[in-house]
Amino acid sequence: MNKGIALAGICCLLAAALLPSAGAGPAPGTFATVVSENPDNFNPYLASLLASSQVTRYVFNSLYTINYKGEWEPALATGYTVSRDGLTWTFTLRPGVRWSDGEPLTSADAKFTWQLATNKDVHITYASGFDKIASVDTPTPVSIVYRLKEPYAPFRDQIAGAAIVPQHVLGPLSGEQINRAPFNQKPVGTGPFAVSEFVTDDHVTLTANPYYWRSRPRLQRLIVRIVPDRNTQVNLLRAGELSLLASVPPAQLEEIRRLPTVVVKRYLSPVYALIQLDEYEFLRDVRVRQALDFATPKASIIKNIMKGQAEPAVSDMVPNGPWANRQLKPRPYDPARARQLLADAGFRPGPDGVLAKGGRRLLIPLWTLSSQPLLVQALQLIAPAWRSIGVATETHSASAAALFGQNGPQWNGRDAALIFGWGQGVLPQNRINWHSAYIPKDANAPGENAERYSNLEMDRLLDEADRTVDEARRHAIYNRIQELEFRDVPIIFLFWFVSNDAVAASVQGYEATTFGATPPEEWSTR
Amino acid sequence: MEHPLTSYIARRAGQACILLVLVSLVSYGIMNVAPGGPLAVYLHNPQVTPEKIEVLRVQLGLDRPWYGRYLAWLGGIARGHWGYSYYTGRPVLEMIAERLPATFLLMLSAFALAIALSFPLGVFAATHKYSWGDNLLSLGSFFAWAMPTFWFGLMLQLILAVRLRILPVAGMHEIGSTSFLDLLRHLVMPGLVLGLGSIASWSRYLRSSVLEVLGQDYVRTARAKGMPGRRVLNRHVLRNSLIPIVTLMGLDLHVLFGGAVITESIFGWPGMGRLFLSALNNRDYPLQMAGLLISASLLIVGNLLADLAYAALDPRIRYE
Repeated sequence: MNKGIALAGICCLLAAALLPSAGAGPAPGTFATVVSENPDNFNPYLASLLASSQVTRYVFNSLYTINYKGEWEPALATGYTVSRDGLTWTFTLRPGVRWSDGEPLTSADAKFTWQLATNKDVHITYASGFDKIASVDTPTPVSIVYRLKEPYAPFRDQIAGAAIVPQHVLGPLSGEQINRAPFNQKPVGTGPFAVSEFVTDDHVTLTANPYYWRSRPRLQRLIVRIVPDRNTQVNLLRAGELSLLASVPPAQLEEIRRLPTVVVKRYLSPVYALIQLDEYEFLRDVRVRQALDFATPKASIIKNIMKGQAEPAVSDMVPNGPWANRQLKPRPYDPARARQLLADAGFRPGPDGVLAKGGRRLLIPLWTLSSQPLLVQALQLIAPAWRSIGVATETHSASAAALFGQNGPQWNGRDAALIFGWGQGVLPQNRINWHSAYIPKDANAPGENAERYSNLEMDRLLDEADRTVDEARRHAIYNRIQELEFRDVPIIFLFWFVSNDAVAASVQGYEATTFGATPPEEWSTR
Repeated sequence: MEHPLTSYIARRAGQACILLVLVSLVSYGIMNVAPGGPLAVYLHNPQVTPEKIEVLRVQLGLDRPWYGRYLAWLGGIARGHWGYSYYTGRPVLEMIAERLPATFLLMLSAFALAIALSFPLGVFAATHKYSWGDNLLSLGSFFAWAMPTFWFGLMLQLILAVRLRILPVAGMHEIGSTSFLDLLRHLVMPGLVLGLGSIASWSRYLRSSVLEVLGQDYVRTARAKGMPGRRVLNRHVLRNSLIPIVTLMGLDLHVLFGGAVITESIFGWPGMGRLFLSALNNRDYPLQMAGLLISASLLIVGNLLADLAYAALDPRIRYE
């Protein structure tokens, strides 16, 4: 008897649970998107994960910003002047801007941002360029004067493009308190949206900031869901629960294109895939590196593995951006020229068909990230191509910690080739990649020049680029830097990734390009 | 004189403390041998300058040798300080505590579902040995046990959420909703996926255990004295068949806390498994060690509870 009632109860609950819900999908005025990782910190100077910047982009503003067309435009500032010696930068702040808690924005906030970014007691992760500032003055509440220690051309990109954080919230706190502040989960910003709820590993709800200085956002709410599984993300899109799924994996693209409720927007991502050539033994010879570039079937990788969702790469400047050197053309796949270069370098085939020199075989192991299936597939195409010109190679895939860590292939003093993705964004500053001062001595040492590339002309050009404020001159320097990247092959540029954003047909006003998306206050849902 | 059970528990608790210190020492050591480190995430971020990484290393105390850091950590635990996460800067215990409700809810639902189904299925299979029903159940449990969790989860999503649209794809709540029915709708698929493995394995264990007890002399005696079959099964057979199952359940106790990382990832459930996986990937030592320590403690407690339950189930077992 009791059992019967219990059973009936369970059946009722199940039936109720299985009833279709009335409003499937985001409500009107709500925009839902998804990220894979739990954001670690909403203070832009303390965050280390991409997922965090995918939330803070809605919350904070900088003095100037790059719009989705790639142009610099004023945001919290209305204009600026630079002194003739390039040492003094004066910005005028936009009057009447308020923080999301209603307090006014003043030049004290901009000054505090500099103090925060250079505070040694705070776990700062982003501070590029702030160390070049000698002092900051705030003559009036709407004007701010930065005095630099030396002329520094990337100043506008790095400092004027950096988020301004509120002095009235964080100023009274000690460095240690800032590391643990509630602000890190519930920030106060000047952007179009403010974080109203953060349920870790579940979602972040942002609501329209009533004090926003530009036009009032058309959306009431913006929800960033946190779902680690890529297949589940696609299922969310198919079930109509998302307004936007950014960067659909190429394998699922065709299937998503067929969905009637979804529009796919394609654009070039400022991220490239590369083979880093660690210059320890034979790889120190530029002819060996050039030969490997000729022996790498880049076009075939773009066609067969990336399914066309990639573009040829020839330097580290995104090809549709203002800094790309358009004279350079990628080396074609040409095994004959590769063999010739290696022969010129003194390599002769041994009894097993592998090239050797001075009694040592030309062995270059290939490594990549096991978490990146596309790069693993590319590796499987590159290895046989290299073998066909007489290079002995092994293939390995490993976790990021293992690949880049101290026990990994970069630190054993042997030639190695590492395939991964990288990019400095749409800005030209690439000093940490190529300057010989940034060759790290071990896995924990500073520097990104792990390929150990060293060229005096390159070092000199990189130093000069940082000092040269004149735009035309800077362009010429970066053109020459790219020629050297191409000539010396410190890394093999494989391709630029293409992103495909799946957008629900009900969304209006959303466009995405290499440089970013349309302003979120212009997005709306029907 | 002290009660033998009390002194037994006290002795086991003493052993547990030593064991926990050893577990923590070994895990801390292994973690430090593992490639990469807490700064690896920053090392491969183009926005983080090399100089900043050096400052962070000193701030997080990573310039000290690992045994120095271990002793400092252990001293902190002894004084009740569990430390702060390297990444979020939040107290580790706070981060764990906010996951407890979601984790318990999912794990207990799966647990309850497993108990509710595995007992009748296991007993049925044993009492109907080699019938078509038994064979079907065997086949079903092997299939369920062999099936990868992620595949089953995604298939359920495709059918129930994408095609039929009768359940939500993922998450714990409709955003903004706090209704119980909404929670239940979100719980159905992850609970089922998670419970299925236990249903399969427990019912198999119960089947063989019941079969073994059915052959015992005291069961024949009970039948011979004319006791009704149902009573023989409930009073004599089932109770004596429970010992291996109780061991299994005791050993599964820590899983209630640790969560289920694959199911949580597929269904976007904000549970403990995902928290510890990201702590592991980021080498967030304070968070990782706290999770490990609590999980190990629960494993030990679960073991102790199972041992104590034996005595309740079988009066012949005594503790000295």
